[in-house]
Parts: sequence; C-alpha cells; structure tokens
Amino acid sequence: MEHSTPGITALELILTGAILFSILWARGGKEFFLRKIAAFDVIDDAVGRAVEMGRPILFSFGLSGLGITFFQALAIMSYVVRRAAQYGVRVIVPLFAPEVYPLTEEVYKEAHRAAGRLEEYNPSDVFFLSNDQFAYASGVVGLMHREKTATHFFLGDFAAESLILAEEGHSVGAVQIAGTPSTLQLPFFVAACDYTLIGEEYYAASAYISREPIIVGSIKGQDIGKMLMLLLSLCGVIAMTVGGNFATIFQHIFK
Amino acid sequence: MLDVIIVWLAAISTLGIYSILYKENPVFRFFEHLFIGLGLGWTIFTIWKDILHPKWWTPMVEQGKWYWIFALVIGALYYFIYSPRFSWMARLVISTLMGLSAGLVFKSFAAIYIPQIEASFRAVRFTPSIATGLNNLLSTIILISVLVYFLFTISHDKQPIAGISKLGRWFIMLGLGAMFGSTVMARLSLFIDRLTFLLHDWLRIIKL
Repeated sequence: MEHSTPGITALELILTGAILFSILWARGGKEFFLRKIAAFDVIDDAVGRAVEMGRPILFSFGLSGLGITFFQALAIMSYVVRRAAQYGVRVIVPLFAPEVYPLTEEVYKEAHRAAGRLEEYNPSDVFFLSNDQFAYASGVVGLMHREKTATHFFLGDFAAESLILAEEGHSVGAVQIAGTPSTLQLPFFVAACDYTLIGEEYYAASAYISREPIIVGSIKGQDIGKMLMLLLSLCGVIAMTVGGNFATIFQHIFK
Repeated sequence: MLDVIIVWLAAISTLGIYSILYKENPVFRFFEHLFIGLGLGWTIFTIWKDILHPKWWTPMVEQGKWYWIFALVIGALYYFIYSPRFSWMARLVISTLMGLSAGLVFKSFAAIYIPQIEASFRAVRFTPSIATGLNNLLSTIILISVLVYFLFTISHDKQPIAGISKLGRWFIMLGLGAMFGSTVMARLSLFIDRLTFLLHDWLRIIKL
C-alpha cells in the first residue's frame, strides 16, 4: 500500500490523536495503570545474581542501528547499568552498529553518574565489535565464555544470530532476559532464554521502567488504538457474517 | 592450486569456529578474531565500493556536484557528541535520523497493519463450508485474545480479561512453536550446506 485512502487517513488521525491526547493527559498529572511484565520484574534479581557471583553482565543490542528499537533498549540498558553500578558489577556492551557507539557510551557513563559511582565507569566496557552479523555473534559468544558472564540481556533487533547467542548463553549458565520486535526471532529467545519480552511488550518496557508521563501516555494511547482496531475487526466480522449492505460498507472502508 | 588452498582455509576456518561446541579454546579464539577482523575489513570495503564511491565520491568529484561535500559536514556533526559545549550539533543529526525512523514506521504501519485489519473481516458462517466457518471463527478468537494480551494499561488480574489474556498467551506460544519448527528446518539446511562443503568440496568422500 503506497498511498493513503480516506479511510486509512481517518484511522491514522484517530490513532495519532488518541496517543497525543493520552500523552497530554499523562503530562497533566494522570497516572495510568501499567500491568506487570514478568521479564522486567526480574531485572533486579538478574543483576543481583551477577553481584552474588562476582561476574559481569552482558548487554547486547543485537543488530540495532540508530532507530526506535535501539532507543527503547538504550533506556533499559541505562537502568541495568545504574543498578549494576550501585553494586560494583561490570556491564559489558559489545556493539554491532558503529553509529550507536557514542550515544551508548554517553548513556553508560551517565548511568554510572546517576548511581553515584562514576569512579566505577570503565570506557572499555562499551566497544564496537563488528558490523558483520556472524562475526559479531562469534565475538559475543567468545566474550560469554572468556568473561564468564552471569546475566545476559538481548534487547534490540536480532536476526539469525539470535539462537547462536541465546543457546551459547544458556550453555554458560547465565540468566538470560531477551526481547525483540522481530517476531521471527522470538521463538528462539522463548526457547533458550529465561524471560522473553514478546512483541509489543518490548515497547512497553521503557514505560514500565521509567514511568515517564510521555512514554506511559503513549502506551495508553496505543492501547486505545488497539481497542479501536479490535472493535473495528469485530464489527467487520459481524458485518461479513450478516452480509448485505453492511458487509459492503465495511469492505470499502479502506479501499 | 589457489582453489585448493581456498577450500583448505575455508574448511579449517569452519572447523575452528565449530570447535566452540567442545569448549572455548585458543583455536576458536584465533578464528573468532580473524572473523571479526575480516568482517570489518569487508564492511569498510563494501561501504566504499557500494555506497560512498558511487553515490557520494563520483557525483562530487567526477560529475561536478560539489554540494555533496555538505554530506560530509553533516555527518561529521555527529562527532560533536564528545564535546559538552557543542553536543547540540550532534543532536541535529540524531534527531534527523530519529525523525526518518519514525516516519518510516508510520508509513510501514499503514502498509502492514491496515491490510491485516481488512483481512480480519471474516464471515463466521458454516455454510457452504463448515471448515471455512470454523477456520474463520478460530481466527477471530485468536485475534481477540492475542490483542487483549497486548493491552498494557488495563489489569489482567480480573475476569474476563484474565482468561482471555491467558488464552491469547497460549495462542502466541503455539504460533511461536510452529515458527520455531519451520525456522529450525531452515537452519538445518544451512548446517547441511556446511557439511556438504566439508565432506564434498574438502574431503571428497561424498558425491553429489
């Protein structure tokens, strides 16, 4: 679909309006409820495990470049690094995309500052590894074995290397938390990791962690959009089942 | 002769990388570092050959489109992230990329999801085909339950949301299981390709 139609334009305007409205509502002081996401309730436990074992944490953004997926994962990394820094645990962040390096390094340093442990900050724990997919995977696998990492976070864009990373991570006995918007890679993370963020949970994660009104409001707006689409689909099913003019109208909404 | 050397090098590299299956060892470490180095070298070469040379250098130097020099200037702004005083310049580049990314997501939303809404309009009728009716009914139930699972700002502790959400989670797991199976088959074909290389091209103990 290259060009919008009146039906699609109306739907997009309604969805965008719902999100903007919810953001403004949240900024106005409204506190929206957010349901629990199991994978995020265990972040502190996973960091605690690394503390107890005296081993580092590995955080991988996968193949993420500068984009929405990366920024979501960056917010989570900031939280993980902050928690880890409080207890003096290293977080190793090997990068695939060179363009995300300066940002990651900045956020990493800022997280140490926020934890009041800037002296623990080690610039060499964030480094560019390779932007060849399987070379990156082999490098991360090597790191897991050599550093004997206790906890792994795989959050971002992943492709065929997902199972290599998750399976090797499992074999070194690390607790693994993963999340990716790529539905094709989710089965591997579900199979080989302890906790997995499924689909949209990945995007809800930063709201869950930060409780920033703008992000939480955005999640509320998206929920309104989902409910609207659910309602639209149900009406469509009823229309098609009943048939007649009602069905014709629904069939032509997006034409 | 060169072909034989290439096959031997490829075979030794393959076995070197596979040696991680036993445990982390110096052979794996050597090939891991070799792989990373080669990967980076290859990437730099392809970026120059496929992108920078034909789309930036050639127009700027050989076709007189001097204004392409500004691409270098804009790209270089990104390095100001290291300067506390001028880091706002880097934000210009980052914001542009973010805007581009958001715009593409907006476009892909309409292209991917809207047709899915339209495709969800299925008649739950058992005539003339019971199978089609059941299929459509199942599709509608899955759509509702999975969508409810992905609602984050309503509580999933109370009925009926709790039940519907749980059903949605089961359906997601079933779907992921099916995807896992089909992708494992695809990965096995990659492994078979490597085995074929080792047994046919290198050791020549099988014939194709």
